[in-house]
Amino acid sequence: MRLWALRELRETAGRYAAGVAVVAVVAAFAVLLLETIEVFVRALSTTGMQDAAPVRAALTSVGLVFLGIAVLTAAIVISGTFATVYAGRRRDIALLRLVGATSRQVRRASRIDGLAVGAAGAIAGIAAGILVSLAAIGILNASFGAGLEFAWTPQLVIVPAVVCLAVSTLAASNGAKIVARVSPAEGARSDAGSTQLPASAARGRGIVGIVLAVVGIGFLALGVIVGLVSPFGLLIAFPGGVLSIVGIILGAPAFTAPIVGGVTRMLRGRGADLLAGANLRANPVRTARTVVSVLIGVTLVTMFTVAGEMYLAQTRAYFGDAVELEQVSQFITVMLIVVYVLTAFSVLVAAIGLGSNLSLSVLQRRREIAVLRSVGLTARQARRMVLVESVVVAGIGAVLGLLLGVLYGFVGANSTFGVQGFSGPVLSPWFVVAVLGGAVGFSMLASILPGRRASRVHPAEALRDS
Amino acid sequence: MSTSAPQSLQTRAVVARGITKVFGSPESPVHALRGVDLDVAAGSVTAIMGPSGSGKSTLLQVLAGLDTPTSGQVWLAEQEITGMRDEPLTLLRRQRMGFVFQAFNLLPALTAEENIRLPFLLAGSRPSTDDEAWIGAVVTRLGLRDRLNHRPHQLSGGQQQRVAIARALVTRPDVIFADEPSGALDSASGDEVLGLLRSASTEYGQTVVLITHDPRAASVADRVILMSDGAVIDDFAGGTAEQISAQVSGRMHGQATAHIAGIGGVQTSGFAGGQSAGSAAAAAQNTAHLPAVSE
Repeated sequence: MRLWALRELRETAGRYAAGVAVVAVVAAFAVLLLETIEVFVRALSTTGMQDAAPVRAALTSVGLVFLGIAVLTAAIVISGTFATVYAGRRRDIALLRLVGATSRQVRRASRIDGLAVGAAGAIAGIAAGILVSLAAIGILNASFGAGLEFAWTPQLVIVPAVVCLAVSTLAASNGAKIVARVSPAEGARSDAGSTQLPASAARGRGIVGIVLAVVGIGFLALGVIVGLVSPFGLLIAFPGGVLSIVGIILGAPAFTAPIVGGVTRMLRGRGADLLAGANLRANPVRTARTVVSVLIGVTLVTMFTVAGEMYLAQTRAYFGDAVELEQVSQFITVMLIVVYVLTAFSVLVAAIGLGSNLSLSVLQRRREIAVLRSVGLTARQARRMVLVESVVVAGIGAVLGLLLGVLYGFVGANSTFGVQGFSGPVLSPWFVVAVLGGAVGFSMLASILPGRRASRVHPAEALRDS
Repeated sequence: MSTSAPQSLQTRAVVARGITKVFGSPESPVHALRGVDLDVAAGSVTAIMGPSGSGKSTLLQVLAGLDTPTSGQVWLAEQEITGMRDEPLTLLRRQRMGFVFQAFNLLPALTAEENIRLPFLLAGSRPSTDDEAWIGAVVTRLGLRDRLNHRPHQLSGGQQQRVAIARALVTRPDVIFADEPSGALDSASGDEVLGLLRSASTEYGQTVVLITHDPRAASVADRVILMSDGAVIDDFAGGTAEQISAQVSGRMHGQATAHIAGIGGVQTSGFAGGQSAGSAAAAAQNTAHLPAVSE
């Protein structure tokens, strides 16, 4: 079993590239975060500050929240990658089951993949993080004479390594969960078989997802109400936010399917568009996975923007004095920039997720694409098909992400500053335009490589035996 | 190779001249096809037989424009397809060729009806009323009327192949290429699929090129072309599965003996060339008899 897992891993290493990249981003983020806090706190103590411990604790807890967001995003993206890779191996796994591999053995074999991806990503990410830290310190010293020193602590390696290995192993075993249940009989069948989640499992996830989302939204509402009388509303709203987003991700196929169905049925006319729509509808789980990766990125950015704007608006009403207002506004703007930088890592992870999902879906559909090519799909139509799939999915993810982000931002702001008066969500139309434009633009870019790969599938592949 | 007899009776749907295909490196070349000539009479069913590795699949790919030959030329009716660019060639496949593969012919995302209409879907054009009438006739003839809204995974293997045949027929192509169309089916469904391909020729005058290693499948053909080691070694009129089987094993045995005697490819192809003159006459005779058969 282990032999098989290792050989498969070696031969299909390319399919894990996105997973490794995602883990590396998280590891680099963790290193940068820890190093920044460490250097900052040490710099504070040299300026004569007596007790830096509270500052360190505060910075660390804020940092952990953002690292947590990045880790959660990464977990979702990597599980998706693993699930898709394993779905493509369904036949092989069924064959292994046929000759006597237990479901547990299959899942255990997946841990090897998880560890390998985690280790590769962690090494690359930690190295990159340390290099970037050194470079940043060098630049700061050279241009401002900051006199900073690289602060070496063992956590710098331990924290990212543990986080990365844990996330990647859990994600791999989660991704293998569905496939490990493959019936051995499938190995004996000659047809390609469907790579769908069994209906019962899908329904189970859907129900759990809806329950979590409903409970989470309840907490969010409670947080806003409590926030009107106390600044601790956020402590209630925050778990509500986590619960509801996890619920939405778990139950994603249940609610993205009707939306995808409605949108894609409007794609009429061109053959390639029609096919793209049919593809997206045919595999709701794969489609939902891709929608979710876009949704997470957009939700995060929107949430912080809405909360920040609302806070700014409230501050303007609160401070009469123009000078004071100016200072506070500047402070908030700086804070927002810091938040954007911190969120950027999660957005990057989500973007890698979109690209990798598209590539994997083309990889899995080679046979279908070959049939299409043989019966008359031109290379241009193949590219167009992938492009339309990408743009539709990203568009839906962006719109849903905007809605969700506004909700979270609104709840976050009111549960924290509600004491100073309840306020409605604030969102600049330019932001909406930028997000939608960015999502569409990025999805077009992300579709270039997979689209080219699809257009190069040789029609003669349709003739070969499976 | 003197396959001119059938052409004097009928026009040709596919013509190949001097097809060679060499894979691998110049140091150790693999000759998949060694100078194949072929004329496929319009309206006929031609079976290309041979053991695996004989080059029959490569020949099909070259004839269908799915692969380019190392040398030689291929025509589809009057149009030369060798040297065509990918885009026009793809459109040619869409409009003038039909394909039925061994398995996995259909797109799982589309319903049976959408799969059947795929060539029109890809063209983004609405079928004309004439086309619609034809699609309706094909669907009825293949017994798919009440299966149109099913997805491929809801259909049996035989039904899936019927959908694939319907898809191949709806554009009224110059030729349908069928690669082991009954290979993945039980014998009853397999016979049904082969019978339908035969009827497409008999009833609609559809040209069919069938690749198979199975004499039973080849028994629906008007003419059988036997390949071995990249060359055509026999070319004879179709018959029953037993007759074909006997002819094939006799010829393959001769082929093996020739190899053992060390006279190699040149001698063999010369021998086969001499043989096929007689066989072609038989094929011509068979083709001439066809209308009587269909009555």
